[in-house]
Amino acid sequence: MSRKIVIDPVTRVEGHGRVTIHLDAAGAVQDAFFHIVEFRGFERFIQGRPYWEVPVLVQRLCGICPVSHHLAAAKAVDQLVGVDPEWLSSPATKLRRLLHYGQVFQSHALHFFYLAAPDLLFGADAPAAQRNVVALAGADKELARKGILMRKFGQEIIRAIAGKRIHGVAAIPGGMYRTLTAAERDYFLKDGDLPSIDTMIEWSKGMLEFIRHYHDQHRAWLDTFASYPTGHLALVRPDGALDLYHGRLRAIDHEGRTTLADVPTDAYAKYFDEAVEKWSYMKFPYLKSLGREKGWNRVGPLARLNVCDYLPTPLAEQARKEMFAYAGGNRVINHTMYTHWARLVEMLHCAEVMRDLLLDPEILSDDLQRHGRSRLEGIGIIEAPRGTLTHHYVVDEKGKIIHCNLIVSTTHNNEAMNRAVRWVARERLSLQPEITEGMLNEVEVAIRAYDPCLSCATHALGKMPLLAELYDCEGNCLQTVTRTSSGHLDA
Amino acid sequence: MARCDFLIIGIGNAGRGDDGLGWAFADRLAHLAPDRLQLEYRYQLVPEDAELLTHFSRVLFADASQASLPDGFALELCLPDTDAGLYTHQQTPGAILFLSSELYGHRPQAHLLTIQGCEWGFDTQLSALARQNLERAFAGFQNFYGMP
Repeated sequence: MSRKIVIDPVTRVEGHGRVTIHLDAAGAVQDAFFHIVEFRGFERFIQGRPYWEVPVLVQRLCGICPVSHHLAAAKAVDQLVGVDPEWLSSPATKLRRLLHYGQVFQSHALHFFYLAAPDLLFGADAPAAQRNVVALAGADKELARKGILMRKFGQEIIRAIAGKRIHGVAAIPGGMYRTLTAAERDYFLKDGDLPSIDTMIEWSKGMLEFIRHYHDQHRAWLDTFASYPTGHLALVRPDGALDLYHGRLRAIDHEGRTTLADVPTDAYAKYFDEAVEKWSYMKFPYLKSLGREKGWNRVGPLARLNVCDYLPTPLAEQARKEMFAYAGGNRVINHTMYTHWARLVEMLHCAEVMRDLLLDPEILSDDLQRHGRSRLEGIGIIEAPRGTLTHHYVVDEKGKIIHCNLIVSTTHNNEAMNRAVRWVARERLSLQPEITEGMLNEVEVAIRAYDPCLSCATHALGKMPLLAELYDCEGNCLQTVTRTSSGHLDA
Repeated sequence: MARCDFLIIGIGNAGRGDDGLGWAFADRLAHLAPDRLQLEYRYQLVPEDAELLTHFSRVLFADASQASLPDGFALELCLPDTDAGLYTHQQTPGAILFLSSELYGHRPQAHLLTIQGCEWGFDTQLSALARQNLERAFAGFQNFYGMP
């Protein structure tokens, strides 16, 4: 007998995510949708603002990955002042890279330790009240302590460069606002109030041991849950190595065949289009050459490791190879749950890159800005924690924004998350008379693997603001299930 | 990290009217015994704040309140709360205290100061009522902690 639990307040779930599940006459799942029903409007309301405000304004899109928006916008604004990425000064580029890899490190730590780890440790069937970081602290203190300090390390990198951990200011048109002092740099090199970068590398290696051990115990689940073929998209260097800050756009299909062959980021509009659906505010980007039905791609940690030829740091590259070996040695991994594993590989990669940058004397240089001839269009693309992030701006002769297009990482994953919901619906809910808490949790687990950045509320564990609706073949709503602020269900 | 003994955490969003009361309270203390107080500003509390608490023996969480408070503010003892962890990177003061105690064996003396507001729209200014309650809360703080 399924458990029915009281909902209060339903208002807390409005404006965020919604799942609808449609049944045929026999009660089998016919279709399922993941709706995004919030609207931000950034593309519109920055129009008319001067271009130099943009990197500061658009980072307010997010409280978790503002650095990604800040830097994607900064890369675009660089072009507006006539400075292409290769013309940025070397110290400025390295400071931006350090800032960005610190940002990815802290965001991945937040997701793995605060959001995903409770799912992995306690299971999708565990009560919602148990699947949270407080319960994690009781179950595995060492893991929780490391998680807190690993996130703190990334945030401290951001604070040192941008002035504060959230919504700081670092990049300016054509460069960086300030450099690091030797004392600020040394804070990250020696164990003290904050564990050193070498400790971050060791702990990252330890987390990979954790996921390998977890795989040994839960192989069937990791290798099958929400596994389905998709395309994959990411930035790579000219030599095929992964690059989170700058590169060329490469896409592959579910078996590794190239669908987008290392094209310059400036040309993204030539290759990508965006579809809209009447049931969601979030758009559906796709490759024009493959069309709306086949041209969509996953982005983010798993996509990046699938797309790149190698990781340019030795420990992470070894970890990447081990992950693929554990997955059966296939060229491409399409198992959604491996996204968590890929995220941990990227944490190790970020830690190695941060160490190399911190040891590079150029990050103390004050050669921080370049100037060029003004242009009317700028495009900045970056690999944000959740995937490929595009900022595109057009200005008038006075430098005011007249056009803006943002393709946020989670938007690329829109179709993939819908497929995940359909997979869970068909595999777990089909022919079932009602939705149980365990089933809804599995929907969340599948969506959560993508670390969607719908809003901060979407990161809520065990109470992701979901409204699940069950429809019969006549379109009648049979059952509605939502969550309360206490994590309970109401049906 | 420079060590003070007393941590003040203002919680809220200064861009949403009276939700900025927590930050405004921290600002109000900026010139009051700066060598004894460390001021922090948060949109929301996060798990890593549990580690921050380990550096202090006293902590005060200051936040705005929609509730009607008899004196315009309320100052109450804050206790560890094991049931407050359903959210992840948004935590209650009680949950942060619990995490600090559970993970680090450290439990500072903690109080929660809530200050009544009434306007929550897009505004960087406090309402007249909020400004009035802020001063009451400040006086209450000075009286409670003996900080003239």
